[in-house]
Amino acid sequence: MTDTRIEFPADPSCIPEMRALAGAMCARFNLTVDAIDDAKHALDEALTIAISVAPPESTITCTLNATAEGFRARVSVPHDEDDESNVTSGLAWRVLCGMTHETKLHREDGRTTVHFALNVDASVT
Amino acid sequence: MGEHEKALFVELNDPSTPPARASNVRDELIVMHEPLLRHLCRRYTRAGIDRDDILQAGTVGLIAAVDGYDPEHGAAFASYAAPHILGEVRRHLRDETSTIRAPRSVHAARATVLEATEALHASLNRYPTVAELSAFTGITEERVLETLEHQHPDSLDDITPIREPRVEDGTDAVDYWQSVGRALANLPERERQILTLRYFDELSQSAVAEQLGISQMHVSRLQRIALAKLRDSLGDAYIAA
Repeated sequence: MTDTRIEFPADPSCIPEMRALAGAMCARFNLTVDAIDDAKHALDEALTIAISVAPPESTITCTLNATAEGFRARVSVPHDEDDESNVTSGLAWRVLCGMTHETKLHREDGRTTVHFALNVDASVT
Repeated sequence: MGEHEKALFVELNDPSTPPARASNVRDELIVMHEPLLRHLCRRYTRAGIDRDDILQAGTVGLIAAVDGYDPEHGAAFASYAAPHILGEVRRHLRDETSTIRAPRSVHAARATVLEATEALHASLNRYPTVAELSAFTGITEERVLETLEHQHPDSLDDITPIREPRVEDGTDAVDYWQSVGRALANLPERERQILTLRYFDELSQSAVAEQLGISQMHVSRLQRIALAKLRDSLGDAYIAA
């Protein structure tokens, strides 16, 4: 499936809608309910991390991709020039890493980007 | 604290300040700290609760903090104000929205979906898909998805914060993880087991469920509750040490 790219305010009130979207995308590809729960939860953590470094009134760019093999997301926000948050040292990052198979964080050109991939062992067809 | 902010607090606390001037100073201090208020409140805006209500409750705490703060006392205003603001927000959540209820139709479907999930898990030897749950129960896939989203805390009582001092800014990594460890230790045993197995031993929900002899949905629900407690306990330090 092609990527779905969405932009929305960097505000936690938007997280429930994004969780629901992730759940619906995963369901379309017959991921099991435990994998769907992990996908939603991982996206929740990634968005929480991104929102924590985003300046007020900024916009999140979120790219989601669901397939029968799993779920991937890329969450990107601008960050303040003087922001020195070391989010990979925190518990949220540990939680995200613990539930996904690939997790990356980039900070360059004034943007913080969180990427994760969650693979399922075998698709259900 | 900036010089201007400190001067305003000194003026507010000076009995010789005329009442009209004191009122203006008080207003300025409240507006000045609105970013702090918004920052503290935003962690509570995720539970489907009206954001304006949360901000309003937090404002009550901010006003109390402005009125009660003594700049000669030494503590930074933000440190003094945060417990006031968060206290009012939590009081509001307890008093006004003690229960977040799923829509009635979702509530009715939930038990059916939970039962079906366990039945299918037993027969398939894996957790079912949404389509399988829909076929098994006769409930539409959309409604099954809604039900799964509402399997989590019904009551905010479930995410009552654990009693643990906040991690202060500037703690080093050892202190940080010791604080995380203490926060984990304060969780009920089952929640602590789940978080440890999930995020430190990196087991899947299904593997944790099997190891603890409980359902995946129960694991999912308890991990959500436990993480909500840790988020509250650790504050901003949940994100970064």
